[in-house]
Amino acid sequence: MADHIVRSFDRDLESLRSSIAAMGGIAEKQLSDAVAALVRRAASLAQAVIAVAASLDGLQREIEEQAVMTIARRQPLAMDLREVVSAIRISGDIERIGDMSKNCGKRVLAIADGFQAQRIVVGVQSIADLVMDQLKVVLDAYAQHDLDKALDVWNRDGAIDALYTSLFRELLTYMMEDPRNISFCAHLLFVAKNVERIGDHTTNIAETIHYLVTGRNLTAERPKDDRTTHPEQAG
Amino acid sequence: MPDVAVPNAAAPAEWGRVRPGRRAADRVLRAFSVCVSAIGVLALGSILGMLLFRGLSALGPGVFTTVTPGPGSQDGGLANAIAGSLVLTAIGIAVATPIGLLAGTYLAEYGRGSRLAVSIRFVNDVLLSAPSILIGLFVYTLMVAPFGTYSGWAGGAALAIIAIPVIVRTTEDMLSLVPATLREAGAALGAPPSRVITLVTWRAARAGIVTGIVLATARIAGETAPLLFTALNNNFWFAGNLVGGVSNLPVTIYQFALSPYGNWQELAWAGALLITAAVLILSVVARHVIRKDAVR
Amino acid sequence: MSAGLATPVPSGRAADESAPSRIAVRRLDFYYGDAHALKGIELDFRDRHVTALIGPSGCGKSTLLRCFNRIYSLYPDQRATGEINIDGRNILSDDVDVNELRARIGMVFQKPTPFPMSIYDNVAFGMRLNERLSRADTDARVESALRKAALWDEVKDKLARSGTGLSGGQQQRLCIARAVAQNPEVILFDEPTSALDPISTGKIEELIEQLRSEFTIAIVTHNMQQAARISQYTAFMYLGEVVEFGPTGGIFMNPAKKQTHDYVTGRFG
Repeated sequence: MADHIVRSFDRDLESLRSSIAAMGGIAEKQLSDAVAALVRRAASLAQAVIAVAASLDGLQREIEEQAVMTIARRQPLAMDLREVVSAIRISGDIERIGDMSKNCGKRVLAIADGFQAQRIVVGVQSIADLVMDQLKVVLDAYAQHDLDKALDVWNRDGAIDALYTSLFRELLTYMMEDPRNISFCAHLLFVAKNVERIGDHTTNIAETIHYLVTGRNLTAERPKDDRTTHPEQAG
Repeated sequence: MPDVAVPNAAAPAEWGRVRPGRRAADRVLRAFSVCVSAIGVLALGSILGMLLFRGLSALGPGVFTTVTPGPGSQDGGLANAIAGSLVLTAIGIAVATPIGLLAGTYLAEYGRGSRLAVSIRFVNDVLLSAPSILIGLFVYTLMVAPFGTYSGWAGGAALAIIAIPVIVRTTEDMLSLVPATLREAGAALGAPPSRVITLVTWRAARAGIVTGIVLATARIAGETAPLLFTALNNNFWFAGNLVGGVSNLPVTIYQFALSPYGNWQELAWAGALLITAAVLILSVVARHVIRKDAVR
Repeated sequence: MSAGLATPVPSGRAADESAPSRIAVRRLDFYYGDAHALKGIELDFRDRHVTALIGPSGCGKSTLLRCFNRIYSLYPDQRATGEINIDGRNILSDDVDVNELRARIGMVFQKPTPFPMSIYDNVAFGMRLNERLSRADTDARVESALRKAALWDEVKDKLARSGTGLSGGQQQRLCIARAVAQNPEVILFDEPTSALDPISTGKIEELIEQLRSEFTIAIVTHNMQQAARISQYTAFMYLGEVVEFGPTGGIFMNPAKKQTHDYVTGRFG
């Protein structure tokens, strides 16, 4: 895309984009640390994960301020306006992702001294791997304004929901097997739910990228395969 | 709000100094200009001073009430000459105003770039600087020689011919200064060109056009040469039909100033002062009209 | 792709796709002497909508506006060919009386153009030319026009004062009142606020928003935010051609053509 006649406008937009990239990097690391802390039951790592969320909050506020200033100063239109609006939306999503990871960290602290077998955690680890990949791809899609990548992320959310549904059943099974697992698995359920919601936020970001690139909102119902909320299943 | 400390700017590179040569050249030119202006003003001032001094001393109530004296007779005034000048100037302006106004309007509104307008403008400029004695001769062959008598009508015509180019020029210039968007605004409301001109552009240029007419009046009030061949001059009240010579100030001044009689010379000074004052007043009026318009 | 199309419309009232076309421009070409200034323009201006013409200087947007009341015909070397149908009548045809046409199409210029006469006479100017009205009728029409132009309260006590003594913004509203007083069908605005301060600009914009319930409005503006604020349709012109035309929201949020996009985002160069 050609440069603006007013070049400081380009710098404003560039600075917004790089702030989002920085936030994205922090959130990715935070999520993978949260998962690592869970797998290793490492309380100190979990503490670090919890602490990082505050810095994401700060970055999000900064991006919002920058975006508002850009609107006030430049009165952006078309692509530029979508760029600014997208930055506000995506920074909000990443900030929520940070909060979810922080929640995971808290759950890890609660079960850090658990003795349960590693196989119970494997299911959560696999859904987290999937979501981490989603997050990485969607952040790439944003950086490259790549509509196809964003749509891939958007379409794959169904798989995560399906995985969450089966994980839910698996954890129920462990709880029925041995009542001593109940507390541990309940915490794991919350972790899994948080991870699944991080997946939802990555699809939000994908929708924002769609709006950013095409100027149109993705309004169709997102692919849903999460049956845990149906009463006859979850009952 | 917190105090914002303003750091001192880094010391700028040394500013260039004015070279002494330049400063000297500037001084020389300035001194020269002042000298020349002073000479000009001094010359003009001495003329005016002389005129005031000699004219005021000659001015008395008799100047306005009695007719010009015959050769050798005492006292006398300028009553007939003043009245004659007023009549001749009025005729001249009355004839010149409509012609000049309409011609100027043609040039500014209708003609613009047309070949006819270009040639009219050229002829008008030539006429503007034509020697006035020539115009007197022209009117003489046209209006005096055929009838065998001088007349106020011929004098008025000669003055009109001098006034017309002045009025044409100022009218055209003033109309050209009216912004085109004002004409477009008039036309955009459905007004045909004639209505736009009479209702909008003339009004917008009114002050300038009036000023042009006032200045033309001032110009012809003091003309002598064209009247020598047309209205001539005499020492009596002129006839009501203006046939025969019509006394007037400029020619009276011309004749009296050249005469050997003391009272005639006195009256010439008084007449010169009167004309100068009239022209001055007209100019001041013209300036006032312009300024009033500019303030609006 | 199962994505729905949601076009945002920034201005208060949305474009009404069913509104009839009031001005239909067909195959319009315009020449300044030998210079071909407008090339094959095709555009429709909808009834009771504000249509904005935007584009860089010299793109022909003012020229297009000046075709609608044939004001260009004041200048001998300017001519237009093609059709401009207003209510089904081609106003470019020779048998149209331009003065009658101009009485039906109001125009407001970039610089305020009050005539050197009283405020009252300014507003009554058009009526007196084209209609025979009683004093009372004239008074009523002048008052209603000044009210519609949101100027009545400011000038009702000084109608006899010169129109040139008003402030710039008031002068421009006086010119709008003068156009409105003729009960025109269409009002053309040629950069009406580019010589005004922001407060006066706001008043004029509010006024245009009001006037659109009665008149079909075409406005040329260099201010894109202004076009986005007050128009329902926008045409982007470049080098004498219409590059893109459509609902204002689409033009400013999601233009289809790259040129339009580069222009509205300030990348033109």
